[in-house]
Amino acid sequence: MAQVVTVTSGKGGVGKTTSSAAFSTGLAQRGKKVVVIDFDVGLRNLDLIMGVERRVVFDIVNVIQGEARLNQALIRDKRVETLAILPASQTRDKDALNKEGVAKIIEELSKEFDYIICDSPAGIEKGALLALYFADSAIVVTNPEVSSVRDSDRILGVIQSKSKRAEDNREPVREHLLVTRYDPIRVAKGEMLKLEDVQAILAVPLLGVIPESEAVLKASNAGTPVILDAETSAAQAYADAVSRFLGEDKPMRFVEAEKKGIFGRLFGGRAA
Amino acid sequence: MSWLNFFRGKAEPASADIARDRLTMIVATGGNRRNGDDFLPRMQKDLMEVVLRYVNVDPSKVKISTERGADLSTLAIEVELPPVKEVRRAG
Repeated sequence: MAQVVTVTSGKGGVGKTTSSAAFSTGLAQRGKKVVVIDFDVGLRNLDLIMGVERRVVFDIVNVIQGEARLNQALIRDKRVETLAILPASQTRDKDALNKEGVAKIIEELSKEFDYIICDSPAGIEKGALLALYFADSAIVVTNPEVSSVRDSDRILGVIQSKSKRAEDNREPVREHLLVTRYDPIRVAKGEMLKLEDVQAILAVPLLGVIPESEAVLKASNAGTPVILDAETSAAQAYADAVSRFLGEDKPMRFVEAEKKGIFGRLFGGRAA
Repeated sequence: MSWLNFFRGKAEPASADIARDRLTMIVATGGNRRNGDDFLPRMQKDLMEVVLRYVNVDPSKVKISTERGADLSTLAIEVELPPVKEVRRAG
């Protein structure tokens, strides 16, 4: 049986799709069979971040409505063999998705894949609720910023009350915190919430910390999941998060401000 | 002003600390996460059953309330007991 992992946050623009793309690719690099589903019907973007936008023919709504078979809608990644993408529809609205349809798709995908990653839309309405309904685990993406932290807290409450596991009184959805856009230099200056504070407030086990990095925008410009840009801090931090998800013990990296030498202090400059 | 503060040895509170305190207030009081699942009515019902199991009182004489404050939140159960004679009979 495949494991369903929902990447969610409540707030928009915190890095859900970037994280879904990187995390799915990272899991597939480890030899796992992974499919990543875009649940943002009407505002799809995962295809763009994954660089497969020109290969989209059918989407999840076509499959639910019986206009295409699942295999026709799946896009097999050309960089990592065991990775596939199921895009969202651009033209329909969120009502085109329904529980029964999604249940069928997940059941069918379970036969082929080890992990089903659900890239949730922002908000706590239908699309987001459907994306988290079938979750076994949830990765809550949070920026060290007040509105993002509050929305993460809110979505954690939703996960524990509105998921299928909650409805069936089964073992609760396993929660993971992924802090993104973390800037240790600003934290050291007292301008940004500390990792420990975010963690204490949300009280969810920490899966990883992705440092603020120019590599993320560059990767999205090119349509390459940032984790494939292996030299960068963001890629390494995502790879660590994947390792921890698979049960490996990895110390947190990129969470301390590097001590600048006298020249660095005099001439400033930014972290890559 | 910041270099002056350096000599004075006094700093303004860091904005990150203000953020932490504001969030702690919102999240710790539970109103944020548990909005969708209000446990109070169920707890009220359970507490009422326990009280009635030991004391024979009019259910309308049992008042259960919660109050949320910045520093302190309270759960108050107020049971108005009948006169002593009646309580003995109930036991």
